[in-house]
Amino acid sequence: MSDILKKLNLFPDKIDYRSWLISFLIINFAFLYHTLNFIWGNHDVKFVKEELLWSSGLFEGRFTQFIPYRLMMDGQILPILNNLVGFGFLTLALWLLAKYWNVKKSCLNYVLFISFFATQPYTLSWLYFSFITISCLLWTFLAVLGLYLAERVYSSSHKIALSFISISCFYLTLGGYPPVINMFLVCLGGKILIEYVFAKKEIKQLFVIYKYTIINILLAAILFKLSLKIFNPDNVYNLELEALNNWITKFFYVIKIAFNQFFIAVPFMEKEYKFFLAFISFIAICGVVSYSNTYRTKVVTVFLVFAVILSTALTTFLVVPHTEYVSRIDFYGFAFLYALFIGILLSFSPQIYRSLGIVAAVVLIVWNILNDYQALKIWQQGRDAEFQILEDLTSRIENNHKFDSAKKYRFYQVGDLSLRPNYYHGKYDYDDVFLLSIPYLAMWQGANLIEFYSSSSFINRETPLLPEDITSDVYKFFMNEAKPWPHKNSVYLNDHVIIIIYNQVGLDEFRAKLQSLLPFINK
Amino acid sequence: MLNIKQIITILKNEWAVLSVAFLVLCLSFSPLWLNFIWGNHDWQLLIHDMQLSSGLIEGRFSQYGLVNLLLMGKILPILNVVLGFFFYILALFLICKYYFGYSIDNKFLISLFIAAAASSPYIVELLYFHFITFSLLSWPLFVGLALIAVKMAEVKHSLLYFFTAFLILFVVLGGYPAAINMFVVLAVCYMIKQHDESYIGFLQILRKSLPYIMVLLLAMLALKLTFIFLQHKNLMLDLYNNQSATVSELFQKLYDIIKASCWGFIQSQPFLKGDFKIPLTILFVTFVLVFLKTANSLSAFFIRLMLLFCLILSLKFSAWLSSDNADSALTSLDPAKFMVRTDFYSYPYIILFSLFYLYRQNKQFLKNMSFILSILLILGNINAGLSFSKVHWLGFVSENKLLERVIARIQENPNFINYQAYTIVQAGEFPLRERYYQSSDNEKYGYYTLKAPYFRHWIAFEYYNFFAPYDFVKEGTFINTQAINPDMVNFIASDMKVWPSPFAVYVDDNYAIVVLSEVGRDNLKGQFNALNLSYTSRKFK
Repeated sequence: MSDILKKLNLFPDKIDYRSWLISFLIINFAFLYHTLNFIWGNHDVKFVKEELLWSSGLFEGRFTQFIPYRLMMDGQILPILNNLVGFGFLTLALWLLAKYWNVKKSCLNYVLFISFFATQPYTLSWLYFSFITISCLLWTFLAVLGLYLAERVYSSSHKIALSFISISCFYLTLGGYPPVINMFLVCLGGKILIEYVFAKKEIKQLFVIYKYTIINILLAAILFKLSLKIFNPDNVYNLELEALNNWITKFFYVIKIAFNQFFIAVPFMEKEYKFFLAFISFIAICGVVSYSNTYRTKVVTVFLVFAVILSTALTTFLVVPHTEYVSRIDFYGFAFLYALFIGILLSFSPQIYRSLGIVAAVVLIVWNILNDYQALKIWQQGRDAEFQILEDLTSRIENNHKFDSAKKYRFYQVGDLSLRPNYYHGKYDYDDVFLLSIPYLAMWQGANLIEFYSSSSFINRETPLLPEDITSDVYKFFMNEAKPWPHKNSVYLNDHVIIIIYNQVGLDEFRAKLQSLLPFINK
Repeated sequence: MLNIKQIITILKNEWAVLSVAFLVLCLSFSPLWLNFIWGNHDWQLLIHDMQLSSGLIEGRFSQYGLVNLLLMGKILPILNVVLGFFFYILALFLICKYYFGYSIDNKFLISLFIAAAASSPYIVELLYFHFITFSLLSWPLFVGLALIAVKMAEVKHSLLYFFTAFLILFVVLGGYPAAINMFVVLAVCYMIKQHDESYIGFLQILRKSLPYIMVLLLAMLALKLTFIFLQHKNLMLDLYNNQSATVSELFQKLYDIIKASCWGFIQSQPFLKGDFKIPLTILFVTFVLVFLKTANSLSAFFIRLMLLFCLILSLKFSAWLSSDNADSALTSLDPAKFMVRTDFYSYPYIILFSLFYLYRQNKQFLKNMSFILSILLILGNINAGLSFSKVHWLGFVSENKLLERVIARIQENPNFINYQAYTIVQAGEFPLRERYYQSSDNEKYGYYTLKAPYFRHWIAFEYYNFFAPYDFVKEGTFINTQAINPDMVNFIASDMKVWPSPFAVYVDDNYAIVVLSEVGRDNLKGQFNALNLSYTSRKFK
């Protein structure tokens, strides 16, 4: 094993071990509050109580998503370990990326590079859902490993073996979370830029070396698409691809988005923070361009920078749903662009750039950690507030004279409540649901939530609310008397159904649905 | 004897070995010790300290000695568990280094082997009750010291060491008699090691075993005499967990015990599932096969068979010695033969010994195997430990939420009087931990590891008062015939329903009745019917 690692230049030395350990500790410190308090999100309710199955992700085409959980934890979401293992993979991924991008090797550089990336609030978006934390952080490692091995194909005598492993890495990651494709291109683009500017390689030469990487990514993407045909997932929103005839208009739209990303503030990444990062990015770009000697190389360098920036929005270009300014997507794209700029500054020959890189990285790591802790405080407060409502609702149901815990009720949750935003007073241009506004008490998780801490199982899981449940009494109640929580009429209970109303918007929608049923209601 | 300087040198040299195993153990149960989740016997003791005499009632006269000495008799968050872990790891280390005398250059491997044994899920039941966690985790250190003392006594022919060993073992048995398993298991392992290294004959084994047997018998005799003394002074009750088997019973039980010991390697139990039991079985079976295969003569083969028989018997030694006619309903839920708490004092040492045994063989295959198995065990153990922690945590939270709702219902009742000290009659219990656990096929037992509720009905006052602004409950469970009134009669005879029905709670001036389960309701009805007869005859005849 050690021979193989040595051949691949992956055998860690003292600097690697030390930087890996220090970075791992810094990352864990940044998210310690989350690790210790087991703050799981709204998709996790069922999986925290039960377990993840091999097939849990198939319905949305995420066929490899739960392989890591099944292999490592028997399908369980385990407190503390979930984050530790995830951060372990992320640290490894970034260490490998530092090697791939030829970040100047020193313990300080590696620690700053790894810690800067991992502590960015983008990482928080993968902590919100505990059921995919490990997988989605593992994908970063597999993606970089795939890129690293693909680069070696050119100079290796084991071309097929290396390509096979590389394709497998890309395929597994695409099967788990397709937007990871942003990362493939940003990291590859970054590598080509670095090789062109600093190693002074010609574009032609670079193409010869990196054609294997491009081919491997394409083959993995084709395999991924074929697999989707086999697994035949449901017709869900996140598999909708943009039609070819929209590509030109979408391209210009995406250019705008790609550059807007530098300035659009999202929760916990506010204007000042974004502008500081934009400034650092600008310095790095200026440095890269000025490093090129001739006019031609300067033009090519600018073009390469432009291409890398553009590739951060590749997913937005390819799919129909709006994925712009979404932290979990940007984690695989834009966050790596920032890392590229920091890596370039840390590796630059002129001392002034290196010093600037070190100072910027230190400042940003501290800033990141402050943002992370602010976010986690707000997450905890919002979660506590929402779960207090759940607790009060449980009491309300149990105390109802009509309630019989031995019965099975059809259950419906009208609307939902998101209380995290109540505790956040920062300014942002674009909301990010995963970082701030998605509710813990999600409407579609109502049944799982209400039974999570309850002392009995009283929800009928086989049948949802039926049209025949809407009798004239039910209809009248909801049209005239129902009010959102905490009003006493926010909980409706009869012999067959339990309906709880969280907010007015949900109630209005529910009323509209009821009106459509009006002709069928037995008066 | 070791002096302070030597101890410091050892800690300096071996801290890496100790810390890897310690960290693995801490990680495996981190949610538990970071969140301070306690069990159903701990409520009162969390507020009031544990007295030195607290364990006398069941003959555990030394149970609270160490906790009084080191933790002021208090259940302290984090320290209670983490200090216990440290003592436990230290025990395993001392056993490896000074009892078995293992010297392997690769410190990382030693720490892996210790970690694999230490983090095995047999520890989970010890972490349920905080009031005994520290002492139960500390007994291995005492047993380890007793074993080292016997070894010294054997080498130096010193009575001082012999009596030191006896005294230590006596203190251990006074704290938790089932810890005897560890002493016996490790003594047999030591004989196995002796025979493996020098092919000593049967008589020599007997001669080498004699000090162990004498220390054991003396300690057991002293324990029995102490029990008699305590009972004579009315300080101790004759409970299920201090009754021993008769000599004839020992013979009758032998087959069952051997069967249970072997079955213990295979039988799935809560948190001890296949992913732990399979590597455990592979490890033990490989050890047995190698041990038998390396016998150089027929007599050596038979001696080895005999030693293995003793080893298997010693795994359930405490269950063999204890009486089957125990008086508690719990014994059917958690039979001594499959009690994880007692297995903690035997199976982890088999893991430790077997790993070292295989590694010390000359074949590379066996060395690799011991390495791989230790890694597999550690990974499985961390998963099992964290799974236990999660289930314990979520169960604890959900039952506490239920308790809050029950208390709210009592206090919102129009008949509830402020500052009145109530008698709570809690009919039944509501264990919820199992709702957060995915069991595998054919799992058995594990009452305390998974099923026990956090609220035992007979100590209702402890937890109903725990978070209350004042003690509104004075006692639990008993209905005094003098206090029975027609409303109570109506409630129990006709209205009473199971929680969360509005008719699950009854409150009057003195009593609050809470019906939490159907079993509880039926028991209460049965109990009340008997009382009600006398009540009606007194009042209405």
